[in-house]
Amino acid sequence: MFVRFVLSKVASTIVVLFLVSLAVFGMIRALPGDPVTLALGQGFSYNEESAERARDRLGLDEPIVVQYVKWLGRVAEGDLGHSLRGQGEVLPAVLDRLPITAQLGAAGLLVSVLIAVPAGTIAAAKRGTNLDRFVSLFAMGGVAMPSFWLAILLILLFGVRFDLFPLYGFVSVWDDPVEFVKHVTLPAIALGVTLAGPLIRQVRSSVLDVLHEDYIRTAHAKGLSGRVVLVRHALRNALLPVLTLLGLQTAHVLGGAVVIEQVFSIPGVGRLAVQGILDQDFMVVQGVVLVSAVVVVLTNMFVDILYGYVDPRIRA
Amino acid sequence: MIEGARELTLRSPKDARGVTKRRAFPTLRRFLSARLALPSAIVILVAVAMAIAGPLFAPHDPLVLSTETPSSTPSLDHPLGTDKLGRDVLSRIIYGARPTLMVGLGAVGVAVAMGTVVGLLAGYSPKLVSYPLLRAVDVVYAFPALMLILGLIAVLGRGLLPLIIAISVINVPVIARLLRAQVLTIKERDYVTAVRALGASAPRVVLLHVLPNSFGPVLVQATVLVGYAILAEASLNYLGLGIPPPDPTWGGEVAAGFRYIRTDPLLSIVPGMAIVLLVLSFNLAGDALRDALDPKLKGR
Repeated sequence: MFVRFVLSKVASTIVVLFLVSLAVFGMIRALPGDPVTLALGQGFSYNEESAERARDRLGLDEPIVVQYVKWLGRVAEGDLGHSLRGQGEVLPAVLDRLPITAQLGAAGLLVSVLIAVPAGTIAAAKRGTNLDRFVSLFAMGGVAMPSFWLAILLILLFGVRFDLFPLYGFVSVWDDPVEFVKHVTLPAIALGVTLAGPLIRQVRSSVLDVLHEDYIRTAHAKGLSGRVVLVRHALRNALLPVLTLLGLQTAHVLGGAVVIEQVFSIPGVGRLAVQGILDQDFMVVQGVVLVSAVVVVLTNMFVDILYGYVDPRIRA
Repeated sequence: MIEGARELTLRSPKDARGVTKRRAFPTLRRFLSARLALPSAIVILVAVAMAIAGPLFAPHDPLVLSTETPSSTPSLDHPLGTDKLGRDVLSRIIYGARPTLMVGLGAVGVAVAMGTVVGLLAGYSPKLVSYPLLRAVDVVYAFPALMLILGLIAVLGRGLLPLIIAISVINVPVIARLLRAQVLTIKERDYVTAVRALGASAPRVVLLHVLPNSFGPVLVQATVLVGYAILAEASLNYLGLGIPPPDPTWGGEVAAGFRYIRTDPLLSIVPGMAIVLLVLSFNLAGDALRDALDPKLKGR
């Protein structure tokens, strides 16, 4: 039963990946200008011989379907092409920076959970009060705030006024955990607050759902204090749907990182993509877009499978 | 239920003879009675006025460099001061409303148009057509929104139109899914069965019966999406990938001001506030619209 569920998830993931590859290939072909010049890189030694070789390698004389299949074959082998601005191969460049974005993203998610779980639970427990209204206004404000602007406010307050955190740069957690925390705190808060909005709503509504269950009444009847019931019984069961949402946040994390990395000069994949556009280095941009989509699709698949494992009702 | 009943009696005031008065514009009244609906409507209207008639309000030309010393201190001549090039900050913010709203409304307009077509087709055609259509649209969800926008900008280039197109693409599936769900419920309703029994063709049913009845939810969703589209537009302009300088945009102003964060923090705080206010207003207006169009949903 579970195996079948996993297989169906894997199958639909493959379909999505296929469509993703079509979309990215379409983007490359929609690019203005001669694909050969693009493949060789502008300003590089362009001569008839190398152009011919590139034309041959890309299969430009062949039907579009053949071109796509060839391209897909290269991508499957990890060949996403070369940077047009002499930065070497695209895939290694992207994979080098992915761990940095992943660390930033994980820290941002952590912040959003640290905000959303208590805030959402309190809002649910105090439903209809001013506290509830304040939490929902906060959630709305977090969603409406551009992350770069919040980042600037944080820099102003904690970086310039109080000089508590460095204003830019990044240190990997594996190199120096203390410096990592110092460098990642402000970017993670800026990212986390904007991610927290939908999460707060989800926590609030799923705690509200659980609060009506019989076992909560039983727990109250046993004479347990309201707080114990809320934390041990309600919150625990309410967190399952929250986990799914957390998995779905991967896309938002990667998108949000584009902006946050730029503000704090963090050399992650988002900054790579932005620099790629500014340099008109399209191969780098498509590489980042493709890799980030694959990361999102695979994460969603794992979250789905995990959810099915934890909650057998989902498998049906 | 009791809450709802109480609300009903509050909402239909009776005169001295006990006869219920019918008030004009019930939807508008319900809209304005929602929390913070009036202030949001005012913010949106002010932004629209600035976008349409900016030159009438703006005290200065936003591109003209002042000969005076640049100063972020407010003065009578420059209520919000000037930027480092001596350009009037207030005027730049007023002029920045135009690209903001053009992209926000334009992108959502395009998304609604395309999403409607896809949603209706997907909801009303056989699975052979609807399944691939839905999958194709859903691929958008596989990409982080901003990454997909970056990819499209890389292809389309920079400027107002590429921004509108790129941001509309990420919103098409939202509208398409919503409309499809609407079609699936509405086409089972009795009145639709009735017109079909009378011999109405599929296009007639969809265009005359399903579409008008889906208008409310689409309008609500679109209002909220405008807010998100404005956020995306601001982010791209902040990154320098939107509308090229020297034309003022709110996101671009924040980025330009960021360089002087130590000396003149207001240069990036003020335009950022304009973005927050407008996006928040669209979100609140969307909520209020939802309550006004479908009072049953109130408070959900």
